[in-house]
Amino acid sequence: MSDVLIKVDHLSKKFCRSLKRSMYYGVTDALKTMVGINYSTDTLRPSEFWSLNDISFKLRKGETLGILGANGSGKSTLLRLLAGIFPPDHGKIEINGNIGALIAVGAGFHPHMTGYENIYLNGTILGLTKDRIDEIINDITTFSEIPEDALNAPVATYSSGMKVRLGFSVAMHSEPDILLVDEVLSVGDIGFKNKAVRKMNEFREKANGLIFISHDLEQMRMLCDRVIVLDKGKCVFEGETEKGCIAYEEIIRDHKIKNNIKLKRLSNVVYTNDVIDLRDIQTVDSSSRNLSNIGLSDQLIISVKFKLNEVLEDLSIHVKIATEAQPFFWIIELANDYNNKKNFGTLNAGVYFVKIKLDNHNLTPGVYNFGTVTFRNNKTFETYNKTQIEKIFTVNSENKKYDKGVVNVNDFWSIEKVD
Amino acid sequence: MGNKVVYEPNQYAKIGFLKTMLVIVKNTIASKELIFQLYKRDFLMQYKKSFLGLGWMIFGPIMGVVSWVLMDSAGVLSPGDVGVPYPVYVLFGTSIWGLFMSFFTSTSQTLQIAAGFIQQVNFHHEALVFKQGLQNLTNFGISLIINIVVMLSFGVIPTWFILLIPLFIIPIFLLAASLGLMVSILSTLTSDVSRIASFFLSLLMFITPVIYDSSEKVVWLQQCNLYNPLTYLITAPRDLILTGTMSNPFYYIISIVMAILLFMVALRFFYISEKKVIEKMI
Repeated sequence: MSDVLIKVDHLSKKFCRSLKRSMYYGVTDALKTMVGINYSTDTLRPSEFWSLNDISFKLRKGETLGILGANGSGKSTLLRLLAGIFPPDHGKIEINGNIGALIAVGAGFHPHMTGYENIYLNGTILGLTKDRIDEIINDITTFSEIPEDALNAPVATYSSGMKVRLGFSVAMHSEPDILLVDEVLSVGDIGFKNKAVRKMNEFREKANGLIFISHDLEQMRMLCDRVIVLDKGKCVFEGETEKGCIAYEEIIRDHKIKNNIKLKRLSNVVYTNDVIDLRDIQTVDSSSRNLSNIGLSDQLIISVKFKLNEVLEDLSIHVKIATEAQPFFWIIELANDYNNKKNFGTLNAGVYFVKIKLDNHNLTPGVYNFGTVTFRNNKTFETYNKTQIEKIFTVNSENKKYDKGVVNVNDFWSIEKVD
Repeated sequence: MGNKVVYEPNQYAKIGFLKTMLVIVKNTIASKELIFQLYKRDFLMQYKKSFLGLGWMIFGPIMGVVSWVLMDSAGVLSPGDVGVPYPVYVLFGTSIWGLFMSFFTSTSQTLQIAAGFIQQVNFHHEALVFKQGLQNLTNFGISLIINIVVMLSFGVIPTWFILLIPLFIIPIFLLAASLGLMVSILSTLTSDVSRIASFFLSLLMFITPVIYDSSEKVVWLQQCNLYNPLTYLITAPRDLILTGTMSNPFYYIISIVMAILLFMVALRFFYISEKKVIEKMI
């Protein structure tokens, strides 16, 4: 008896970008079907594109498979195909067992019906019988943490969090053999999220199969044995979770770099009084060559090139570095007075390179963005020039482990016995 | 766990015609609880946000009857020799026609009423077809009772054929649902279809002798009446219940057979196409 729960073979799915063409194809396909003409779905017609292209994998009993991919890579389409919501255009899916798909919670909820009524409605839609729902109704209501008086009130009066908890609770108790989870765990407060993760772990221990789609690499590492990585509909990696997460980060980075190349010329002078012009800011290596991808153990060297049009004293330079999550991640201030740092002294007119060098940059892998570079007078705070820069550099993990969060620090702790 | 399912392109077209019918019957029986839950959801919830609530189920048809009574007392409904008081004749005929229309309208929205969760959960969509029909039947049942009250007040006693009403309804449902299912599939693709369909249906009412008697009209209209299967499906129950006679039993039987065959064709079309059009429901 095979232990393969899901077998996906050269699966492909196409969609149409143009609304009018989509209508046209839909109507002609439907009429052909009515008359009994068979038509092939293997090739792309004008305006069509492959949302999933030649995907193959297996899910075995007891396994948790993660699916990673950027937005638009085909993850949700894959989930819907596995759930049987629409048919593939090429290839085959074989499934042994019932599938429960958590694609969106609260399917079919009617706002005027009470919590209890909606539990029965949603449960029946998900395939439970009334008798079974009667048996587990208490488990469902307890898990959802919704109080009794709310359960007897129309769902329209619920907060969005309550609606999600109710829907999720019914779905988690729908007892499928294979559970497909689509990023729904990103809802709810921490307490509920933890409960949800614990419930999913219970599920795994019952030796059922689980497919998990998320952007959250933490959750991937915690839950999944294997991952596949999708990029623009193709499967670009299949294997161990950690390697998959790294491959995924590289794809995100490559997308950003490609976008960045388009944006390289985008610098915007916000203010200038023509005393200083910013020529360039760039991350470089020790030979001053441009280096936009820096390893965990490399030096971080930032080079700022500017032209000074007159003699200047008391210059200070501020470089702002941002991440996607934090616009004010790091502001590097050069030649300021506090902490007695050295200053630039008196500068004559000319072109200058300022190098900011960090032997241990302590940054965690990710994508970093130069924000603005500001030139000011250190004493009077007069601003000479403020320029916005759209340029990124990335830090890669060199396949080493690193701390989670914004800062990576190694070997900073010690232990001694005191009694 | 021996539950093996395969998904491939064009798989629904690969199974034979008769096998499709069996699969649909099997799926419908398996979904009986779902049909009931969805029926509860859509039917009872219609009345939730009103003070009269379920009272509308009765009050609605009563209001319809009142307008008939007013028209009658104003002399609008012209007298004719149909063997029963004309107002009763017209009321009954239009109720049955109304049932046909409501079956058509509701089945033409089969996929649309589940818009939203139909793209999120996989379930037997046949359940939607029958749940729609059930809603219409409930409404008809109540207005039927009111119609009988009106009939009795005009001094007309229905014949025993009234007990066969469930049987008379079946071919009407089948014909309406055949058209409705096809419209439902096509109207997820383009909104032109439902507009054209409602125009077509209103034309259909003109060529079905519901509010007029065929014998006094021009020849081409009479020909339309003759070849229109809906003529028989609607007038036969009405005539049998009110007068105990039927004009054309043979053509009635043919109309029933046509309705059954058309329904099977429509079901097959629905079965093959519905999954493919769901992805276009935006």
